[in-house]
Amino acid sequence: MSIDLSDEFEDRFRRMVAEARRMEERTLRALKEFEHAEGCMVPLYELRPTADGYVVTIDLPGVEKQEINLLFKGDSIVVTAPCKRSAKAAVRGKQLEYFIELALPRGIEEQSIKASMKNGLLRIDMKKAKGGYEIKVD
Amino acid sequence: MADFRFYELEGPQEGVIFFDGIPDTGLVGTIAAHHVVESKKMALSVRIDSDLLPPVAVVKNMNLLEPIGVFRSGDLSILTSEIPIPTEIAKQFAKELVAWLVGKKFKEVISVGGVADSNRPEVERPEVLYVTNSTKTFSSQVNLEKLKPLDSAFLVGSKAAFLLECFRAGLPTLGLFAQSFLNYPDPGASASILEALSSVGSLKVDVSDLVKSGEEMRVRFRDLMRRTMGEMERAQKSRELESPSLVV
Repeated sequence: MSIDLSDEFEDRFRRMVAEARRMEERTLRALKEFEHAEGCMVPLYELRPTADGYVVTIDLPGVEKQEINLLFKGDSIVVTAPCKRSAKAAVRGKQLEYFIELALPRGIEEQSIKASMKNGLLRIDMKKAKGGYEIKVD
Repeated sequence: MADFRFYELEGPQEGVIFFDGIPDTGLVGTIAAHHVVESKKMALSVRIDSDLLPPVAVVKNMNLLEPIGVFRSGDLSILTSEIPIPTEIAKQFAKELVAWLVGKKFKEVISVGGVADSNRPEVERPEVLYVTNSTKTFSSQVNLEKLKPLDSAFLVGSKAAFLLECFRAGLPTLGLFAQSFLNYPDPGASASILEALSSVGSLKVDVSDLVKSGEEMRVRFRDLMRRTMGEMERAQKSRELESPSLVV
């Protein structure tokens, strides 16, 4: 009896893709359920490493910088801001504010955190805590 | 046997320009497509479906529609989609869409998208790059000298598959890409491209509306952006940050 390995491989691959899609769907569903239950919108965000730390950007269309509440909690940051009427009209439901709690990588130097806002995009720069020791290369 | 079905509601498409708004980087093409469709009050002319697509129906005014459709006004047809094209079927979709375009004798294709640029927040007017297989066709319609040719790059995803098929089929095609955010809907980048296309009569629209409603657009397209991000990751979008090794 011979086994067609290409068929078996294709079948496994299809199942892996299907499982990855199910996981993604569960995450998106949890996010929408959270938004509907809490009456908020979870904004899109990005966290990128830099040479000496990280930069987080959060998309907050329609928000002015003085309206943002930004809280550093050690291992996370929490951002809340009111939604503008134009933003509320664009989505279903009664979302009244943006809300996101974002888990941070370990070892952020608290005093280094700086935030700025441009065209509805919040940018948070943070540095990794200094540490370690130099190793001499022989 | 073909996997995609094209239900045509309106007459011949011969000599018509095809504008593609497939969801991709920053939803640049999608936002531009929606803006033109809404500004010109274009009518749905072709409904597209396939058993390969997720079972999604869009409800509009007591009507049920497929999530992918083509809108028409005069000599312009615009493809819009409420869902990202699943990566596993992107090539099949591109192949059958282009075969349909060739069969229906469309005049030319304008495909619009974004190139992710980490410097985008600092850029007021995003630069527009282009790639074409027919400078002769498009130089009389668009001021290509004002744009930058895309000389060496990777294009990844359903738009890349579509452009490749267009080039292979010999359809006169212009790909326009504006500097954009990767993961945020970018109406500013869409506006830059529509400005570059303002000399194409049927694509001339008031872009200031798009700029004014930019904040609303960013919220309205948030969910589609999230789903498109998943597809872009599966398609290995990060390759667009790499350089091709072929030098000739």
